[in-house]
Amino acid sequence: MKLANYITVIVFFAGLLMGMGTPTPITNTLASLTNSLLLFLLFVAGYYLAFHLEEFYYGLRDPQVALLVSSTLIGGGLAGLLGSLVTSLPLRESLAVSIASGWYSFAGAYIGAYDPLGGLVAFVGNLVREALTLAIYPVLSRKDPLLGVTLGGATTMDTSLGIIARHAGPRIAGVAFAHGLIITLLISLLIPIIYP
Amino acid sequence: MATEIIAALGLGVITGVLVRFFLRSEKLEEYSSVLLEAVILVLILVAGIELGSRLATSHIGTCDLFYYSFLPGLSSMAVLLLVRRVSK
Repeated sequence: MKLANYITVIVFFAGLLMGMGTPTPITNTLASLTNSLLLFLLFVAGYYLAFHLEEFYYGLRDPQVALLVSSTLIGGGLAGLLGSLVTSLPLRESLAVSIASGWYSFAGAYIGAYDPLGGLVAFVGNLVREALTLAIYPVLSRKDPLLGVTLGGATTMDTSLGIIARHAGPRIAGVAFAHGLIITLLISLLIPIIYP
Repeated sequence: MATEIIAALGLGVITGVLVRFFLRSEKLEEYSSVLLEAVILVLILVAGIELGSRLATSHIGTCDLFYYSFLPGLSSMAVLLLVRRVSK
């Protein structure tokens, strides 16, 4: 086992421990910086992909995008159905939280406007999904790079795009970007329909 | 936000293409890869800190939190594997 292969997992857990002992005002300042950091990451990812534009373009047009989008949404839907039986959330809310596919800012704010506890579950649950993708994608991509794309859900067009491009290459990054974009558009329509 | 995402990515691609066109150095690709890795690690650290802080200050049921953190993602991966197996 090479330690370097698990550096993302180690950094993630170091952050988690630091966060547990960090006062809230500092965390809020960090959270406000995340947006700028994310845009810088996308700039660097774009710069990196410029060296492999042809492969990225083929990835965007890959027919597997439809399969990945369907898997992400159907998987989220099934987990939502089962969740209404085993957790405290009612069916519609459970479906909305599950189908959010890692888009914690939207799901947390939308559901939180009606049910604060449900909003918190949506926020933290989807934040864990995003963090989990960032932490384990390098390991997962060695087995199957597309599996990690479904795990990333909506985040594959922004937060996790950089790590996908770095570890799976520009073609899979193209697939991931198209997948994330379609998922983001669909869930922004589906969540208000499921949980009006 | 979607506009900002596409603008940042597009600006990066344009910068990369211009740098490639004018400077033509193989080292530049290597540097971009190292920079990308560094920014990713900072982002993971910040995501971990934010999550740790939320977990320490919120009082959500452990079962609910555990379920919605892992099951939707795992279920999506399972559906993908199942569809692949069936279509073979």
